[in-house]
Amino acid sequence: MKVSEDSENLAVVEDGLEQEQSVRNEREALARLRAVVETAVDGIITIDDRGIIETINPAGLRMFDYPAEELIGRNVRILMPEPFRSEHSDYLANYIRTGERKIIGIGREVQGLRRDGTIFPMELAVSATQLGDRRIFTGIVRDLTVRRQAEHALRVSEERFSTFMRHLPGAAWIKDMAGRYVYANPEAERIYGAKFEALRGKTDPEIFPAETARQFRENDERVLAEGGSTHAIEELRQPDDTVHRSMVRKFTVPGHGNEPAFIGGVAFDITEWLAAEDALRASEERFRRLADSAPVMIWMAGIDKKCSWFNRSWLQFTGRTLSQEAGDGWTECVHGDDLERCVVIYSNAFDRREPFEMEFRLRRGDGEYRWILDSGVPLISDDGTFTGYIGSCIDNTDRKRGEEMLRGRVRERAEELAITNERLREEIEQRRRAEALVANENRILELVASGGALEIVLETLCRSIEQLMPGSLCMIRLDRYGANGDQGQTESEPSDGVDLFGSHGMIGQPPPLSSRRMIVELIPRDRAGAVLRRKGFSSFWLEPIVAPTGSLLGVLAVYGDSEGAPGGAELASGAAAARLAALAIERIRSEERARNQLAQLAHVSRLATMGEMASGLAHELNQPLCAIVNFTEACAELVNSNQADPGELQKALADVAKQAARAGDVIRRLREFVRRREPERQVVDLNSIVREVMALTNNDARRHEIHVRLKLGERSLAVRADPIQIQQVLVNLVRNAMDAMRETPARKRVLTIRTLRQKEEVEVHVSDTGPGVPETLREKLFEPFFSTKHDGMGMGLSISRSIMEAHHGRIWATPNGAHGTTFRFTLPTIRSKKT
Amino acid sequence: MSAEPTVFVVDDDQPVRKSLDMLIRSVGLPVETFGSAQEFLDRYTPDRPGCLVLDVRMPRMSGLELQEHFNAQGVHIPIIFVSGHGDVPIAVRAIKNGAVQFLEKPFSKQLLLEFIHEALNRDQRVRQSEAAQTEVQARIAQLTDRERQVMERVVAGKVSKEVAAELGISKKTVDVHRARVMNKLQVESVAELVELVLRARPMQAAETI
Repeated sequence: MKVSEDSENLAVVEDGLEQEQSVRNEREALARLRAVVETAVDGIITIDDRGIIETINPAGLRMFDYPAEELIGRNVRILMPEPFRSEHSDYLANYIRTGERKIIGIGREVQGLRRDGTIFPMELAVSATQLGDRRIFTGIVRDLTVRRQAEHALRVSEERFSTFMRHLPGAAWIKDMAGRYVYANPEAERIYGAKFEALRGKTDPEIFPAETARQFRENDERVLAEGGSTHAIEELRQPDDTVHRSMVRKFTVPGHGNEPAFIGGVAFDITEWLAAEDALRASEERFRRLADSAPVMIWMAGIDKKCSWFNRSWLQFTGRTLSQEAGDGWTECVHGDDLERCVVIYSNAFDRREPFEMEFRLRRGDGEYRWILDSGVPLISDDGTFTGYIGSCIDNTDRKRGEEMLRGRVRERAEELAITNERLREEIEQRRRAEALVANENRILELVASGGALEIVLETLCRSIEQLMPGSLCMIRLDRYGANGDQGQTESEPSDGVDLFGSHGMIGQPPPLSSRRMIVELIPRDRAGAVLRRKGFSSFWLEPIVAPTGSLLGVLAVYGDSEGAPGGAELASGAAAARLAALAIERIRSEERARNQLAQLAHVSRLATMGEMASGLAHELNQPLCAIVNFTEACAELVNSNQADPGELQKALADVAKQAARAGDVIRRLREFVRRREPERQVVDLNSIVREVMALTNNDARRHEIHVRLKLGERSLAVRADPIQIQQVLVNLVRNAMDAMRETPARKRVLTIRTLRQKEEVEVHVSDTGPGVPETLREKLFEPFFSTKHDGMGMGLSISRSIMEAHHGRIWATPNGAHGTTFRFTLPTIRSKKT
Repeated sequence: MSAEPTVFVVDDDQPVRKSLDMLIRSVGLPVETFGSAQEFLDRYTPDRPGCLVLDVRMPRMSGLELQEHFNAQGVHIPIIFVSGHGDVPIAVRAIKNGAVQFLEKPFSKQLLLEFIHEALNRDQRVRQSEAAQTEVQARIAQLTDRERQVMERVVAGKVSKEVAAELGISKKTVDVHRARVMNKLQVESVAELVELVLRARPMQAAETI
């Protein structure tokens, strides 16, 4: 407003100039005015009604940091940042048009733009002046930057103070000289139990009880009297009637002059500290009283390792006073032999702040050294500070003696236990072996049951014994005559003629045949024993293998490297194994006998069959012979008549050879079929057996004018069997089928042989188109001496069934449709478990 | 019809068949072989001259069955049986049924060829007589019923008067018919006529008269 008035004055002066009244006065006034403008602190700018700068004073130039020539003649907008810049033109235009004042004659805070682009706060006042037909505007600007900074600094300072006060863990307040509160921080509010608004302007007597107020007032006056600051403990009763004690510091606060104008106070509530201190003192007292009455000896040491305190028990024990014992005094009573060790243990533990335990002899008041067990622990306060050690001791002498005695007893007991344990362990081991043997036993029995060969069974047995007794070697020697009865062993056998079983074959001398258990602790140091010794065996024992009838079948020999006799468990296992071996031998030999009997029977039966087939077989021979004769005669004829064509002769001779071979085959087949031989199992193709049989029975089929159909399954049907016995079964079935069709019209005589695979079995069907067999007779067919033929022996099918059973196969009869019978037999395939 | 006489071989055994084929061919005789009776039946026609070498035992249809089949059909091909089984009952039955011979395998060349020749001769003879018969029968077939009645009575030795009385016609008419018969059958005398007619139907004639 002031500036604006000045502008008005300036305009008046200029008017005066224009009217040219009193030129001197005018000049004087002008010079004065110029001086005012030039020296003004505020910036003064005149612009025309288009905003073009006409004049600007030095303060203005400094403020905006422009030289005059860069501003004069330019629009005032360059001194304004957005958004003021755009608004400015509008203000002027608007004012000129409507006379409405937005800034004219009104002070306003806006922003200025310096030449270097910086923006600063400024106050702007504008006045409008009519100069003849021209209107000019005068703007006066003031830089507000410094003021703003000061204001900001004050705000920050106040904020800091207030933050400080807010976080002060004590109460702070300020009272004026009349004792009226002018400030209180939040903690003071909390302690006084009232908001500052309620406290402001009030005095202590108005707030606190009289006694409290008086106490406060006294301290206030003391500060004023003494000057500087003072501190005191003040008590304040709380609304809940508890008395809080605070540590208070009071000080004078100067006003504008140096005279104290206010009294400041800061107070910390120390009620809890005082209480804790009291509690600690009480607790320590209680502890000492307790420790003194404790039956154990207790000591305490400070952080300097020196003992500071001993309880009454300790002092009574040593018969000395606390002052004698304190520090290192206690060590005087420690036995000389233990002292150094004790000090080391104590000192090391102490340095590491670790608990320790030590035993030493301490001289009792009566002069006797007693064993003391001393355990010490470091004292660590809640905040982690180490404050020393505390330890307790007991007189350990009696216990130590007791311990000695106990240790002796324990040793005795432990020895007893060790012996018992050893026995138990042996027992367990024995049981484990027994179980293992049982497992092996099952395996071996399975092997026997499934028709395993004797050598495999016995070898398995030997191996299982070797497993039971690691490092041992097991061998089974059989008495080759034992099985056959009572011939006994008469000849002396060469070592390579003995039946030995086991996985190691022949090693040195075979074990002797003995019908009693024999334990040879040391293998003789002769040549025969050398091999065994080289292998690391030094002893052996024998277990006889005895048949249920009592005859000796052989021996089971176990070679070992132990110098002593075999244990009970070993002998028991050996005996069990020998029993098992006897069982297996008996079983397998009886099976062998049965097989041999069957083989003999089968052979007789084959001979009989062959007799019956003789005429058919003769024809089988006659065919190739006939062809041979014809071919050779033809050749002779051709040669004689000189018509011989070498190529033709050659072909004929080849045919002759072929027919001779054919005749040879017939003979071979016959011989094979009737040969008396050991039954042997081999892998054979069932289809090829069928073809052999067809070759054998071909002539019978011709003779009986029977049409034969072969329906053979997969290319090869492998079975494990005695091929001749299977041939025999098939020959029987084929011949039976042919016989069955005797009364059948020739055109309807069809013999069909099928082979097929059924899961784990191979099946063979032999079907005829004869009259069939009534169901009631079908099973009887397989009984010995049963025959439906007037000239039949009734043995064929019975033997066939025995053969099939020996091969784990089956044979049975079913009807073949409406007419005839189908005989079927099965054999397990080689992959089946049965074989 | 005047084809060369052929030796037909039926045997189910291929090497035997082949050897027989070679043997028979080596002596210059035409030969044809068959693996079964049925195969032979399918391809053989009775007008073909020759003989049959036949295996006794064969599946489906045996040699004997084939022989019986031919007999029933009036086919007269001579058969030589061969067999690997020298069973007598079969041989007897075969011979009874008209077989030429029965040979046991293996057999000698001479015997086989001898039997084959014998059989071929027999076939030839039979075929010749059969041919003559056929011709006479054809001539007889040209006669009228009345002429045949007259001829049969003349052949039976009856004189014209007797024939006329039997047939209830005149002697003169009988004579005319007799002259026509003689003419048609191309014979000069009654004796010649008798021989011709008897030859044409030997057995039948004997039975009938």
